[in-house]
Amino acid sequence: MRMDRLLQRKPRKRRQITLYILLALLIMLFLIAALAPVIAPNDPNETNLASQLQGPSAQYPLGTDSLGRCMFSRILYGAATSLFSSVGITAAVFAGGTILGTVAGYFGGILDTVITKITTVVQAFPRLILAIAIAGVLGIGLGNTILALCLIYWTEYARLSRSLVLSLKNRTYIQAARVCGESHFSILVRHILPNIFPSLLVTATLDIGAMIMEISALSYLGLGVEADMVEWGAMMSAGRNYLQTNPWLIFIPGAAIFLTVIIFNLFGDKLRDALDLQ
Amino acid sequence: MVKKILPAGMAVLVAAGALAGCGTSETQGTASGAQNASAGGTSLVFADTQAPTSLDPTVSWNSWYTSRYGITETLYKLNMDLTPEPWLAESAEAVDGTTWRITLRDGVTFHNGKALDAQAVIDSWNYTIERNPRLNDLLFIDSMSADGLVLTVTTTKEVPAFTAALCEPLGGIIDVNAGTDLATQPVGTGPFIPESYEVKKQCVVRRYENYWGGLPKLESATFNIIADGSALAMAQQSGESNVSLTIPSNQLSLFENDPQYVVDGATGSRGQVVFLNFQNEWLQDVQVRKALSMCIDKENYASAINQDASDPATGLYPDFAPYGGADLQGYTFDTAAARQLLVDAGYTDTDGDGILEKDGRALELTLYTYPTKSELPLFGEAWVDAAREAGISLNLQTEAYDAIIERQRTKDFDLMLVSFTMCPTGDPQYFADIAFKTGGSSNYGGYSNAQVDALIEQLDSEFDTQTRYDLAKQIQQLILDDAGFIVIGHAKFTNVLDANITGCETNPSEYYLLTAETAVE
Repeated sequence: MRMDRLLQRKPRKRRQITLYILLALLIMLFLIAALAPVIAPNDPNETNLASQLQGPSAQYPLGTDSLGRCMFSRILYGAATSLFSSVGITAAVFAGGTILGTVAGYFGGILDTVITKITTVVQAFPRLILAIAIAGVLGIGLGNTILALCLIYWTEYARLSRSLVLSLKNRTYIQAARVCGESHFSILVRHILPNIFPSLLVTATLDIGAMIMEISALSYLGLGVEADMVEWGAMMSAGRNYLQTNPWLIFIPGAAIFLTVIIFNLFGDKLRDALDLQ
Repeated sequence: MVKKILPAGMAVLVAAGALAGCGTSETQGTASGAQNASAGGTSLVFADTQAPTSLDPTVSWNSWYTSRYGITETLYKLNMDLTPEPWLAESAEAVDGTTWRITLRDGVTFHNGKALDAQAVIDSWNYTIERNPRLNDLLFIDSMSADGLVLTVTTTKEVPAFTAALCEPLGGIIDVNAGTDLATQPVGTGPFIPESYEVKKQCVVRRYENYWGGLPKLESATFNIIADGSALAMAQQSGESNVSLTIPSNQLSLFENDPQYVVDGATGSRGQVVFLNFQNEWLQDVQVRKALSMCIDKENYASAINQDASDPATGLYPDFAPYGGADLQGYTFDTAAARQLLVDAGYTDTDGDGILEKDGRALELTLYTYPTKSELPLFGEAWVDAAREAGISLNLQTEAYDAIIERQRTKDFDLMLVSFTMCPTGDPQYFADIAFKTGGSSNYGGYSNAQVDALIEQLDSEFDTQTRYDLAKQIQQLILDDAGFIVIGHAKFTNVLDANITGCETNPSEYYLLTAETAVE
């Protein structure tokens, strides 16, 4: 009996430790992004043609790019662009999608039909292709990229929250609340949202990583950020022609994207375990 | 587990995007080309980033490609110094100011065996002019008459640059009565006959046995189109291509010290030109234009950013040309002096953000450029940074080439950095007429200077070569004093060839490539 309990508890504890380590790494990432102007040794946009394409040195810890700009400073500033915009997009689609999905699931009827149909139509398109199309129409710029991604990603949350609400709304405690005369709004906020929140939160955490990739992909294709804005995908795009001669130009931002996305995904995974969701 | 591996894997894929995405799609085209090469014996595979819309030489700029592919030829040809020399013509003499007598070379035949005579030239040009006005923008033909091999052309005005205009590939002679589909089978007089063309993918040509210049040394040739610069370089490294055109400057080092390859370059007239919009209030101030000119580090852009794949321009025309600006008074890179110039002109930084203001408005301008010439966005970024030091805020917008063309039409820009072939016929008149002149068709920014217009008028009808050169220099100096146009430099035209290829010299005009003399040793 005792041995069984120990065996059960131990992995759970280790999981928690991993979760905290990942959380610490995430906080560190956000700190780096927020403090980029303080930490960065150089102005990320300052060109210096005399010292272009240099290797790492004391002045330039990760070397310089084709215009002699400090790669390390650019990575730090790029972190701010990638992290904050992806968190912003995720928060927006999380809020918007959840409201629509919850309303559709709870009230049903014509509202449900309309929202579900729109969701289905938007989800019928391949996401990145649709994002490219929307960003292409709106024009280049971070704001437009964010808008394009928001217009596509809300469906996931609408669909998920709707199905969660459907599974909850006929439970006895909801019916009891209704019998007691609680308003729809009160039921939604006090009984339904708290119960569907953890599942949505895990999805959102996993989505931030995907969002970083989407922004980078659009920037890589030249549809993302403005030319003078520092962004990892745009940095990779600029380094593409140097793949054979100066591979670090594409490798360093690539590694930054890779590590950030991995941290977010592992964190989301562990968070799901910790919250005991399937 | 799958959910976390998948996005991570995709991150790696994005990193490999350049390799995987562009590499695989192009190898299909090049692989078949390589097979051709081995099957045909003496055959070569050429690769380029750009392609014609079809093989119909009368459409848009397609004639430049049919000329490079060895299909069509013109009456005159530009030599390595961009001086016109007789080609299909034996001579061209000015009878009087507006009449030219051109004697054609005897023994030239079209690919279908028909002999070339003056009437064939008339038919070809009439057909071309009807479909593409650019030819007559250069030749100014009023009427033509044929007598055997002698063609008499009268022009609507005096055209001193007539023989240079004859070199434009659009004037290439095709048999318009051959009854073939021009888009795939134009019948020219060149050493090679088109066999097939897949749009923006591949063109195959085979030699014309009865070519007037002797039997072409190669039996056939394949032209592959590889849009991505990295993939282009890799195709040459792997042996899929034997000759590569316009490999990005930074990748030339992969070939330069390798005895397997020859890197052959010629200084071209493709200028990196900045158009300034004179409708913009800031740009109407000559001091602002001068300050902007002083924020461009021409030498370092050419040597560092473009890794010597272009030459800095002192004036506007290429320095190497006899009418170039090498001895003119241009602008030297000095952001502090540029800032001082603006401060002296009454601009002040009132809010302390480093950007100068006047009448409460910040000195802000938008600069447009496009990415298919890889150096342009980099030049733009460096310029933005230097201009900020001088107190000017430039907002760089990189757009697709089509969008830039639209902006040229609607004049919706402040500054525009484009790649423009300034002397396609080896003569200064062309660019002066279309861009510097008030109301010129390519004067996108609306520059207007009465003195310049008067000098261009003189240049248009001046026959003496030396006087023409002097006029071109005077025009440049006036525009430089005005800071009316900015030319950063002129791109070299650089080809990478397998070391065993002969007879494939790089001509600065960009007009020619494959000839009857091209061979593998």
